Amino acid sequence: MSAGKPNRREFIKRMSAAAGVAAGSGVLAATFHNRNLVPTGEEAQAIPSYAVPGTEGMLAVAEGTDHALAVRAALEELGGMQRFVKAYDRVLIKANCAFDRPHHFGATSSPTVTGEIVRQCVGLGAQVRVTDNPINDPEGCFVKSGIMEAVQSAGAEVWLPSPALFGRVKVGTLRIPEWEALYRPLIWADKLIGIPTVKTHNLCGVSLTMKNWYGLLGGGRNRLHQAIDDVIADLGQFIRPTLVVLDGSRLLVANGPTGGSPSDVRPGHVVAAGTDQVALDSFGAELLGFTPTDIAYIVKAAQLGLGEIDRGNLRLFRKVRAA
Amino acid sequence: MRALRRFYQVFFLALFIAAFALTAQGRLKGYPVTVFLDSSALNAVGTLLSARSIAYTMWIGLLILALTPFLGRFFCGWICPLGTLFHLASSLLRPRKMAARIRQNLHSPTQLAKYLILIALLTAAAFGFMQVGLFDPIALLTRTATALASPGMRAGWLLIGVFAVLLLLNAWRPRFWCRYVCPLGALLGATSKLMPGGIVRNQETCTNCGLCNRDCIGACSPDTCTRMPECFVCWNCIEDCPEKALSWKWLPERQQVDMQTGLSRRAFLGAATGGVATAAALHTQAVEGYPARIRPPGALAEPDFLDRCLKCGECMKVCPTGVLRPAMSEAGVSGLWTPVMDMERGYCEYNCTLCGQVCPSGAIQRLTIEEKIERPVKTGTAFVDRSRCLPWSFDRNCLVCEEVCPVSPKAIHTDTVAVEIDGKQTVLNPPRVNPEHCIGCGICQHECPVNDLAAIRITAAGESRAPGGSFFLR
Repeated sequence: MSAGKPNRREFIKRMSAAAGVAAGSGVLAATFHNRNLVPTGEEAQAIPSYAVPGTEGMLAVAEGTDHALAVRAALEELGGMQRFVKAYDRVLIKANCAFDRPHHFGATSSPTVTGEIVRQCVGLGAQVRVTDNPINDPEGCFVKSGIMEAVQSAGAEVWLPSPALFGRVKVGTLRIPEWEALYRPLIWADKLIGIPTVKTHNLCGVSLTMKNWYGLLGGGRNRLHQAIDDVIADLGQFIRPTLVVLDGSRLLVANGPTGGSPSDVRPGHVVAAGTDQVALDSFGAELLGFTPTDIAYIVKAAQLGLGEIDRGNLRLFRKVRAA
Repeated sequence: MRALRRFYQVFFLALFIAAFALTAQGRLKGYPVTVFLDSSALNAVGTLLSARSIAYTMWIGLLILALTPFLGRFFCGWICPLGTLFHLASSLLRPRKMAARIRQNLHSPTQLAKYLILIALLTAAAFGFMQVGLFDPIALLTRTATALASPGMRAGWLLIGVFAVLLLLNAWRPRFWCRYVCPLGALLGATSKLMPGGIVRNQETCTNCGLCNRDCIGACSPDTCTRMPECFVCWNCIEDCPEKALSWKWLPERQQVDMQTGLSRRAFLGAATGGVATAAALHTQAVEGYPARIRPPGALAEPDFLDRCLKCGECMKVCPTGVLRPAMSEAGVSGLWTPVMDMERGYCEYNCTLCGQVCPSGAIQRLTIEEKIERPVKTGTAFVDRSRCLPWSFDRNCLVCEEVCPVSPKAIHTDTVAVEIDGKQTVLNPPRVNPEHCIGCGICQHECPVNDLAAIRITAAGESRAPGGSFFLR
C-alpha cells in the first residue's frame, strides 16, 4: 500500500467499513435510545362500536342451577348467539378475572359461564380470545380462577396483557376523554362480549357491566377512583359491546370487589344476557339488594342516554326458567 | 473417561438449568427444583452448625459427603454445575502454548486459601453468623442466575459483575474458584483425606515429561506425589501419561500419595479465631428496630431465619409479583442478601405460598394456602400516612387501598366525614386500618396512587412470626 493516494480497492474497503460503522451505530442507537424520555404525544384512537344493528335495548334473564343451561336459555330468548356472532368473526371476550383467587370466592367470572359462551362462539366458527388486565398477576389470575382451563378446553385462547398491547384511546365525556387501554386486542376484534360478575363494590356500590370495562384499561388507573362514578359512566360510553352476559351464578354480597371468604358469596343461579348496559346494571344492582337509582353511576349513565333503568322501556325483556 | 465425565458434566448443568427454569409460577408443580442446593454438603453442614438442625431434603448433600471418602471430589469434577461453567470458561481461555498450559496447572500453596475460608465460615456459623450461602457454589450460581433472569433486580449488576470476574480468572488459573476459593470444595477435599486409594506414580517408568499436568483440573501435582484432597478424580493425568506411569492404587503406601490438605494447626486456629472474631464483630441479631425487614410469609422468627437462609435467591426467582428482593441494609449485616419485601416493586399475593415451596433450607416454611390465610400469617402492618392520603388531606375520595385489600372482612375500612369544600357539602371517606385483620401483604401500598412515597405503607411491626410480635394488647 502506498502512502500517497489510496487505490480503488482500498477506497472501497474503507468506505464500506465506514458505512458499516455508521449503520451499526444507527442500529444500536435505534435499539437502545430511551423512547420514554419525552411524552410521545400519541394521538388517542377512537374505539368502534361492536354492537350488531337491530339488537339494541334487549335483556333476557334465565334462572337455573345448571349455569351453562341458563346461558343457553337466556341467549335463546335474544335469538341465539348466531344473532350476534358469525363464522370467521374475531370475538374478544372480556371476562372479569381481576383477582388471583378460586372462582368460588365470587370475585371472578364463573368458568362454567365463560366456557359456555366461548363454546357457543367457537361452535359458530368464530375465532375467540379472552382477555383482562387484572389487579393481581395476570397468569395467576387466569390460572387460579379456573378461567384459563375453561377457555382452553372450549377451544379458545387467553390473551394475557403485555405492555405492547396498550395504546391511548378515546373514552368518555364526563371525566376521562382519553386513557391507556388494551388497544391492540380492541382493534383486533370484530365483536366484543362482556362477562361481568355480580359484585358489591366498596366505592361505587356495585361492580357489574360497565365497571367490568375497567379491566380493559391500563396506565395509572388507580387515580380513577377519585371520581369513580363519572369514570364508570365514561366506560359505558367507551365500550358499545356486541353482547353482555351478566354472570349471576353466584353473587358477591359483601367485602367487594375482592371478597376473600366463601361466606361473602351467596348462590345466585341467574344469568342475564342483553345489550343494554344500564338495564343490565340495574338488574344486577337489584340482585344485590340495591335500588338502581341509588347507584350514582347508573343514574349518570342513564342521563347520558346509554340505556334504560326502567325495564318497561326496553324493546325486549324476557324472564325464563332454565331446566 | 473424559467423554463420560463430560457427559455427566453437561447432563448436570442441563439439569440445573431445567430446574432453574421450572422455578416459576405455573411451572413448579412439585418438582424438586432445589435439588442442587440440597446436594451441597456445605449447606447441610453449615445449617447443622448454625441451626442445630437441617431441612430433610439436605440428606442428598450428606450422602455426597459420605461417599467422598470413597470416591474423592467426584462432586467437583463430575456434578457441580458452577464447576462445569468454569471448566468451559477455562477451556475457552486457556493458552495455546503447551508449556504455559502445563504451568497453569501446577499446584500452588495458595490453594490452601479455600480451607481457611471454609473454617472461618463454619466457625462463624457455629456462633450464629451464618454466611455460608454467600460462598456456597450452588447458592452463588442460583443467585447470579436469578439476577440474570430478573432484569432490574437490586444490585443484580454487582452479582453479574462478580461472576464475570470469576469467569475471567479462569484465564489465569483454570477453575480458579474451585481451586482457591470454593469452601464446598474444601469440605469435600478435607473429607477425601480419608480415601483408601489414590493416584500413584511409577517412578521407574516416569520420564518427568509433565504431560500429566496438561489437563489436571484440580492442580493436584500428579507429576510428583498426587495430593488427593485437591484431586477432582477426572482421570485426565492417567489418560494423558504417554508412559502409563500413573495409575489408581488401593491402599497405597504412605509416601506414594499425599493425603494432607496442607493446613497447619496454626492456620486452622487462625482461621477459626478469625471466624469467631468476624461473628462477634458483625453479627446483628436485633429482633426489633428493622421496620423495612418485611419477611416473606412463612419465614421463621428472625434468629432462626438467619440461621438457615442460604441467600440463594430461589424465593426471589419464583415470586410472581417480584416483591421479594435482596436485603442490603434492611436486615443488618447478618441478613445481607436475605429476602425482604419491597412493596414499591410488588406485593405479597394473598393466594400464593410459592416462596416457601422452593426454600431449600426451611428458612421460609412450606405453607398451604389455607394455613397462610387461616392462621393468619401476618408479615407486617399497614400504616396510613394521613399527611399524604387523598381523603385525609386533599379533599378527595380515593379508597383504592380498601378496594384491593384481599382479606375478608377487609382490613381497611372508612370513616364518613361531611366537609364543606368551596361552599359545597361533600362526604369524604378517609381510610383506617383494622390491625386484627391486616396481614401486611402490601397491595394497598403497591396500588396507592400517591406515587414516589405511598400514603399507606407497610412496616414489619406486628409480624406474626415473632413471638409476642404484636404491638397491640390482645
